[in-house]
Amino acid sequence: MKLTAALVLVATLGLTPELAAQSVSASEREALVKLRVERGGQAEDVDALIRQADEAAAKGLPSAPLTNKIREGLAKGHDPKRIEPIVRQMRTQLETADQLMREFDRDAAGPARDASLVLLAESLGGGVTANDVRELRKQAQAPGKPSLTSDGLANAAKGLSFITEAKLPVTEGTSLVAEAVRQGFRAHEVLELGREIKRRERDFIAGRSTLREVRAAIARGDRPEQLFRGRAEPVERPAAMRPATPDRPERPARPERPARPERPERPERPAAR
Amino acid sequence: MLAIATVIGACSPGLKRPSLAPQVTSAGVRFSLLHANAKSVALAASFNQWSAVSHPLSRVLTSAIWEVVVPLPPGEHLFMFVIDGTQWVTPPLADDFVDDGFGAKNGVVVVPPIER
Repeated sequence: MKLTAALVLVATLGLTPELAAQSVSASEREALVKLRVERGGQAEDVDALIRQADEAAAKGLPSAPLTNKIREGLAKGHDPKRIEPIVRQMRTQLETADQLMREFDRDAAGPARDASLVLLAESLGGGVTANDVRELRKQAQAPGKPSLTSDGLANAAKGLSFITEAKLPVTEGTSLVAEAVRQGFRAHEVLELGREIKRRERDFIAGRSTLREVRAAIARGDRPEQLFRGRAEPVERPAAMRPATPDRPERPARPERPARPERPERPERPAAR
Repeated sequence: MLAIATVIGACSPGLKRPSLAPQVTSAGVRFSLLHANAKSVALAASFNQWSAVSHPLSRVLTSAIWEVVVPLPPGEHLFMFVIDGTQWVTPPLADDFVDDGFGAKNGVVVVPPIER
C-alpha cells in the first residue's frame, strides 16, 4: 500500500525513483559553498563532497547524514580533502546497512526505514560488522515470536556498538544484547543498556563487572533500571576525557610565578661532633 | 553578589554546584559551559547543521557560566561549543563522547523518548 502510494507520487511528479530520492538541495549546496568560501576556499572545492551525497541519494540512501557531516567538517574549518574520505566511509556504511536491511526486511520503506538504516550505519561506524548484525539478529529472535523489526534490529546493533566502542568482547556483547531483546527490552532501553555498559567500561575491563553477569541478570528477568542498582555511579565521561579532578570547572590560567631568587650559598658548617 | 555566589558554588568542593552536563528540562535541553574569558559562546550541533551562530549562549548574570536551553526531539544529538566564533571545544561534560572523524570529540546528549 505504501509502495503504491510512493509510486503514485513519483508518477505524479514525473520523477524517476532515483531523482525522487532526496539529494542535496540547491539551498543546501549554496550553504556548503558559502561555508567553504568564508574560510578562504573555492566554491568547486565542495563538489567532490556533494557528489558523494548525490550518489548516495541516487541509490535511494538517506543523504542527510552525509550533508550533515560535510557541514560539520566545513564549519570546523577542515579541508574538503580531509572531509571526503570520512564522508565516503559513511556512504559505504549506509550501503552496507541498506544491504542488511534488504536481507532482513524487504518490505520496509519510508522515513522509518531510513531512520533504522541510519542507526544501523552508525553501529557499523562504531565497530560492529555486518556479520555481527546477522548473528545478533539470529540470537535475538525468540522462538515463536514475530520477526525482529528493522527498528528493533537497528537499535540492538547500535546498543552493541557501544559495547564494541568500550573494547569489550563482541561475542559476549552480542549474547547480552540479544538476551535483552528476547526479554522484551524496548528499543531505547537496549540502547541505554549499551551506553551504560560503555560508561562503566573501566569496571568491565577491571573485572569488577562482567558481560556474562549482566546477561544472566537479564535472563533472570531483571529490568533495565535494576541491572546496575546498588553499584557505584559511573564517571560522567570516558577515562581519556577526564582531567585529574572529575567535573572540575575550568579555571583561568594561573599567572606565571616569578622565578625564585637564587639563595646565597650557605657557609660550610663545621663537622658535627 | 549572587553572581559571585554562583561562581563560588560552582568552584568550591563540598558546596552544591550547578551541573555543567546537559540537562533535559521541561523547556528543553540546557547546555552550559563555564568559561571566564570568553566574549561569546555558541552551541554548534547536529541539530543546527553545526552553525556557530544560530544558538548563542548567554552569560548567567555576570558569572562565568554560559547557558542556552534548546527544545529537542527525543534521540541522540552531537554538539560542541564555539568560543569567540572561532575556537571549537569539546564540552567538558556530556552523556557520551564520540570521535568526530577529524581528531576531536563531539559531546552527545540523549533526549529520552516521551513516556506514554
